[in-house]
Amino acid sequence: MRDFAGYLGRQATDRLNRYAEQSALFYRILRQIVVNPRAGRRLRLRIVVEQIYFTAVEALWILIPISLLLGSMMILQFSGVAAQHDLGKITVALLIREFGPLVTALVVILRSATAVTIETGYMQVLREIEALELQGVDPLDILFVPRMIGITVSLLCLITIFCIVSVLGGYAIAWVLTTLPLQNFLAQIGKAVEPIDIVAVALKALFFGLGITVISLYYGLSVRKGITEIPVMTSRGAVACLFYCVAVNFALFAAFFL
Amino acid sequence: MALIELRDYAHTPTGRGKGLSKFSFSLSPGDAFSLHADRVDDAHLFLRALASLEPPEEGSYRFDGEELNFAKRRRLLAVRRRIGYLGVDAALIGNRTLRTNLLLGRYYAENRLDLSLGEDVLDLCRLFGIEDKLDLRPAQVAPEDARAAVIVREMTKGAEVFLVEQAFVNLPRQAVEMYIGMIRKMADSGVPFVYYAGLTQYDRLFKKRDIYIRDGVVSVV
Repeated sequence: MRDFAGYLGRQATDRLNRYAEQSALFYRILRQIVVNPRAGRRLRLRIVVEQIYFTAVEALWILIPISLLLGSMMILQFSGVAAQHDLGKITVALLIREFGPLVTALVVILRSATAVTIETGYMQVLREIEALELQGVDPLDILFVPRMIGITVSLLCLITIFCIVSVLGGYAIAWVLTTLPLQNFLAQIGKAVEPIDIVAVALKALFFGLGITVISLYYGLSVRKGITEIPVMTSRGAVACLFYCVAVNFALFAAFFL
Repeated sequence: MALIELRDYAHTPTGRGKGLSKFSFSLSPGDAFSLHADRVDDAHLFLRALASLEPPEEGSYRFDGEELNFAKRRRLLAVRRRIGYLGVDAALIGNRTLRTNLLLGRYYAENRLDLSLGEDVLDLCRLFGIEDKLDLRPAQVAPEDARAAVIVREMTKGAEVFLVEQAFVNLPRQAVEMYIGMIRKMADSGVPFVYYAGLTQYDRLFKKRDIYIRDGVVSVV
């Protein structure tokens, strides 16, 4: 019993330490974004653009088919179970508010968060971060800040694209392939979307972006012993990102819609 | 005044070494030290300590008379930029080309991206035979070329002190001779440096004084 209590205590302490370290990392990156030092500003901007290209532009080829398939499938399902006048509301409540941000976050975690953890882990093991410092370059400026800005901006754009494509594309596919009554669907969506929905989705994008970046960087920086530690940290980082997104999604849902 | 001064510095072991027991050491302009150690890891740790890459577990690190606070990262960066560290673990940034690696410090410091390599840098690249590989990434070139790029980067960044470790590692013989010649020229010009040759014939090429590390105890002769 005593051993078990000790185990629980150690786990709780480890977890608290981890959260404290992640918060410290988040604070340092955020402060650096606010300070925006002149040194390396152009370099930083270039890396932000590269990050947006990698996280948002290159992900479109995956996100658009997923949003089309999910959108059409859900619209067809909803139209089967909902009365015609509820279809717009259900689509907004589930597809735009919930599935859109979560599925997009999942795509970003699978593509970018894992890549960031692996890259940071390698840089840590191969002493590349040290090499930057030896040139007088602050790793916060050209590694961490651009990742945070790039991933957050990308998430915001990708979630918007997911919502538009899933609703419009899903509607188009359902309209072409089936004979279900979908009259006035778009007008219903237009009526169902309220400003609070847009604020909630934008906040989700913001919190997801900040959290995914900090968690993936943190697990990359946690690699100490060698290259064999990188897969373990990548897996832990991805799972932690997923839990974080689901928890934030629920917290924002509770804050806005309960 | 000493450029680098370690006072009562101590560090726990790394790798297979014995660590560094409490010692004091200073490196001033004109100093040239040859480092001898019974364990490679201790010699490596000593050079990293001088490069400010291993914060002291006891004691202090002074650069140019100022005690360094290792919690203040931006101040540390300014110091590290002034140290030419040519340890065996000195790396290049893997996802950038050799050219970008050579320019990164200037890109950052001068806040410009339109820079080109200076003549001195290009001359060294030619000497080491990497001029036509500058637009490749480190993983796309041979380890010798990546090592040469590290040497060019450190030699041309305007460092005021050099810490050199095992010059022969990952370099063809011809390049080693040239590299040794460059270090010798540097020593003649009064730039302070510490050189660890390992167990090679390069051990006594340009030493003025010796540093011995035996069982983690540092002594200067």
